[in-house]
Amino acid sequence: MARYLVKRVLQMIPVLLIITLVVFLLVNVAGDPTVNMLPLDATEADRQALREALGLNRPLYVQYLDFLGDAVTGNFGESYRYNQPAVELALQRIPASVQLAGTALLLAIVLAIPLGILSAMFANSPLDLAVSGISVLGRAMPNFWVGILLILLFAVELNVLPVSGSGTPAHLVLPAVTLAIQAASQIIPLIRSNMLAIMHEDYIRTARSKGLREAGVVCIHAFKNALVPVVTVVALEIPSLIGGSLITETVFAWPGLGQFLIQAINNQDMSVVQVCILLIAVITLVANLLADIVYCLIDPRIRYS
Amino acid sequence: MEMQQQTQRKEVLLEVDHLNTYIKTEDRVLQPVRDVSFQVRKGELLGIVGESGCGKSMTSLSIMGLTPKNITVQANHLLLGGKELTKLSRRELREMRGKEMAMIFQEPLTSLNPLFTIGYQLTETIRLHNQVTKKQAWERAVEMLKHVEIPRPEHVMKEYPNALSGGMRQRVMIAIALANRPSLLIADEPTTALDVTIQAQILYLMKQLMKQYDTAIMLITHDLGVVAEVADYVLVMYAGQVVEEASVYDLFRRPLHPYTRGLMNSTIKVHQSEEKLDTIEGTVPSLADMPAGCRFNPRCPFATAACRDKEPPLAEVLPGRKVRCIRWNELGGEGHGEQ
Repeated sequence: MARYLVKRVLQMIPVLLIITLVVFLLVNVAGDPTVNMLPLDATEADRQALREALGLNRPLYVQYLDFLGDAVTGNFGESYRYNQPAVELALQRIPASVQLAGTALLLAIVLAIPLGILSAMFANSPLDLAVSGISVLGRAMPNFWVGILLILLFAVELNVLPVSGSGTPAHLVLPAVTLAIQAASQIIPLIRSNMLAIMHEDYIRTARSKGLREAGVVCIHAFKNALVPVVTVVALEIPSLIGGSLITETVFAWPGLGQFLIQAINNQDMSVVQVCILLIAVITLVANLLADIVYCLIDPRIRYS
Repeated sequence: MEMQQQTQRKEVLLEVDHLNTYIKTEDRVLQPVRDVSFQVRKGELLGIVGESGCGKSMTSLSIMGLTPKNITVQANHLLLGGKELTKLSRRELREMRGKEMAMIFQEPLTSLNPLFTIGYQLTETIRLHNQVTKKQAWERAVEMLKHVEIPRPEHVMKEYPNALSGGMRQRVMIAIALANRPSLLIADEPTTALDVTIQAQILYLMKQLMKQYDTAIMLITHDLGVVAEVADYVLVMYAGQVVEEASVYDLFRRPLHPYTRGLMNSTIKVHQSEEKLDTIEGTVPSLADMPAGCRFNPRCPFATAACRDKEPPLAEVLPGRKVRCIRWNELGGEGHGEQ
């Protein structure tokens, strides 16, 4: 297990290197940051001076190696806009994002597991059709639209929840529900189809032949087997919820990483963009690693291979 | 084996009387098991033999109450130890499973849940039917593993199924099935998926435990060699019906039904002189397309117009021997004993 983990962590290094290269190049082709940094009436000479001061006139590979060296030491430069280290600014946004993502994911799992199981147990019943229908809708509707609908209903019409912002648990409800609807809609059909397939397995018949209650057969013997692919999807959802809920965070003015990234892109605050994207990449890699560890804990067959 | 024909048959444990199963499809009703009646006696091993698709497994699943949802089971009686299984509620029937009657299956590789330890799967059935602590259940489970001759039982308890071979897994299945000392064990092709050497070991183990636990066994197989090895009585099934019933000695000494003879002729014998192995022409008819008259008539070399005309009854033609063939007396003369 330890060896496997070390191997998995070492495998992350080349992936990270590639990501840094992509991030670096993307930001470099995005445009000239000096345009935004200087007043509109600045002369070409002023801009050139600034480029030289920032090292933007050097060859790309030199800039990249420089960027890499700084990245290793955790130095991504300062935000052009806030004149503070970009890393610090980005890290400050992580707790809010984790809070929102964690709540949404928890909500999604709590919703999806019983609904997925019930749908499978009563396959093709009205309940199943309703659940399947809702989950198709949930996947089809874009987040920002769901968010706006929820705001209209609960904040504007019913006036029971705040429109946007943060600070109280009430502020958390609408953005978390928005994200949870989408995540649950991904997980429900997965659990349903897994459970349907698993209920035909020989070991389910064995469990029944022992005299186990149907609930025990389903919730113990079948469910644990249905869980492995669900872990994959949940692991894929984590990074997209923490760093990827750009639009939802913007709609609800939630001060998380996603919203911060959008602002940085709009401001062409490139060092912040780089840090944010790298952070999201690292979160993705760590989430995948966690998923692999959870697989091992659930399924003994994976441990040995 | 010669002795068994003289011994009195024991008390009836399981009485199956006119068991029928129906599968509703979109346009018709199919009947995989038709009017099957037989008895399993205490401490006896009844072999049920026939090709695939003869309704053997469906018969056993019907007794266990484990048939798939789309199948309807009807019977005049399904009596196990005096209890009428057809009259039990779902819950009562469930409580019988694993306690009064247990089952092992053909595929030991897939019959155990891959994500739970052997210990969990074994103690689960013990704790389900007995008021015992976790520790007591664990000790009893280790004891069971010893009984099925698994080496290092304490170690195996903590293993997952994938760490065990097919033979070992089937031993675990037997341990699970016998953990609550059921009076009836249904074994559905328990050795088919195993290597030949392992097959013999498992059969021997079952036979041995059967005596030790005073359990009757209903052994379903397509292999007459297995039946000859371990069965006391034999039921030959064809196309959802019983076609012959006899003690194993009588059956091998003188098979009465042409199908039984066909099955025997198509097993390889040690002193076989011909190069070609005899086979039964054709295949088991599909449920949707049963021939009129005797269901075996299209494949029977001795079929006459009368066979195609009317379905023969299962009749007791000799003491303790039943056969579903109108020409048994003309054909069944020659011996086919293996021994």
